[in-house]
Amino acid sequence: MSTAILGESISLAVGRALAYKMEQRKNISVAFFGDAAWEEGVIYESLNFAAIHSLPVLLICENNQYSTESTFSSRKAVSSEFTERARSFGVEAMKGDGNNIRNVFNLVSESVVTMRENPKPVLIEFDTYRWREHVGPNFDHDVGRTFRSKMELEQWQKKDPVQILRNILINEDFFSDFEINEIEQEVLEKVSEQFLRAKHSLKPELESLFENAGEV
Amino acid sequence: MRTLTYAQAISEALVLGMKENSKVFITGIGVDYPVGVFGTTKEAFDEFGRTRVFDSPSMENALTGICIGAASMEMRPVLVHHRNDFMFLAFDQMLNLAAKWRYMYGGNAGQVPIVVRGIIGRGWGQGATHSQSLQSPIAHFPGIAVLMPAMPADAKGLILSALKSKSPVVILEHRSLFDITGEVSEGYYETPIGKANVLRSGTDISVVCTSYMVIEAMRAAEFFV
Repeated sequence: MSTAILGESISLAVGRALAYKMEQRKNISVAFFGDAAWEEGVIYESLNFAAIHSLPVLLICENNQYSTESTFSSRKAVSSEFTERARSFGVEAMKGDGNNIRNVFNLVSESVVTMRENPKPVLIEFDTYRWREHVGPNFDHDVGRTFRSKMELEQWQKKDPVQILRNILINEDFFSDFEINEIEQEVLEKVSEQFLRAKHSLKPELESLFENAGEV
Repeated sequence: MRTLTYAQAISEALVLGMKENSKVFITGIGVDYPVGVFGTTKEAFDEFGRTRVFDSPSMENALTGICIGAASMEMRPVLVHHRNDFMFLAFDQMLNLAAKWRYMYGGNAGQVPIVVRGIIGRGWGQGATHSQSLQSPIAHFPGIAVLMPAMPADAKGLILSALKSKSPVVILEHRSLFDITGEVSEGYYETPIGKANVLRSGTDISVVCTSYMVIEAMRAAEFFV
């Protein structure tokens, strides 16, 4: 489930976890959101509720430091930590390296195991970076936006998680360079295929604009 | 046929709805109070307890989202607001998510059948922000139904219909209606949503109204008899 309105999906995930608890299921509900979600009230309401009811919801924050182009200087006091905010509601919280797949995997899998045994909300904050613009294919510094420098981008590009994983897979003999290239080729072909398919598809009929609108 | 108050009819509907479907639950501020919501949720609380009728913190926005999330797992939440005015805090969830999803997801997915009850608080001491009637702005949005039962029988039947709806339903209950009495059939029945209740037939004038104004209109009609 998702919505374009920032933060609301966190409450959806908590609602899902509530249903799991009421139905006595062992499922975990997971919410993914960015650092800007901490500015909306809904996250605090959701954390509070999840803690009160010990709901099995895993809250994953991808902290890439920017909200479109706004920096933390206008959004958060320097001394304020997201993990501390979660803890203040009674929610267990930890931090991880969002560009390190092993770190991500270990933190999440350990949390899931404990949450299944003992239902409770958990927050994990992962540091990462957004390469391109908030919407679109360009780099911010190429299109005249001044808050995100080329230099900063290049520092983070050195920590490219896909490249890091690729290196692990090759260095630790999981895959050869050749095999990885083959997979990438296959993926590119599938994407191109679908892109062309979308491009050549007919537009929907005008009448379909009102399908499922307003029926109750 | 026995006579019930509007409040008793709603209470009976909630209990019947919860018996009929184990996935129905009630939440909102004060739903477990001894005189909760004009007495409409006490019976349900006594029967089903805190697992299915539970008090909530003051968190209208996220609570609505939580109900939507639960509804996506086929739970049937009933969210109660002591004043419909508090729904303003939940409008994004109600109107951007619940009302729109069926449309956005092509009809089969995105069914969010939450039932939201709100009291119209017009009365002594309520003030401008506790006495509004929000049917017009809410009903303006496609994909969400607004019900305003006036008679106890309709209050019962409409709640039971709402609990079977594929779409979100808002039920606005005027506080002056809770003590009015009327005949209410026993047992489970559903009143069709979207069909007007003709209370009095004639040939000279038509009066169309909702909620408490129905009572006023019926009194006014007596002048012309």
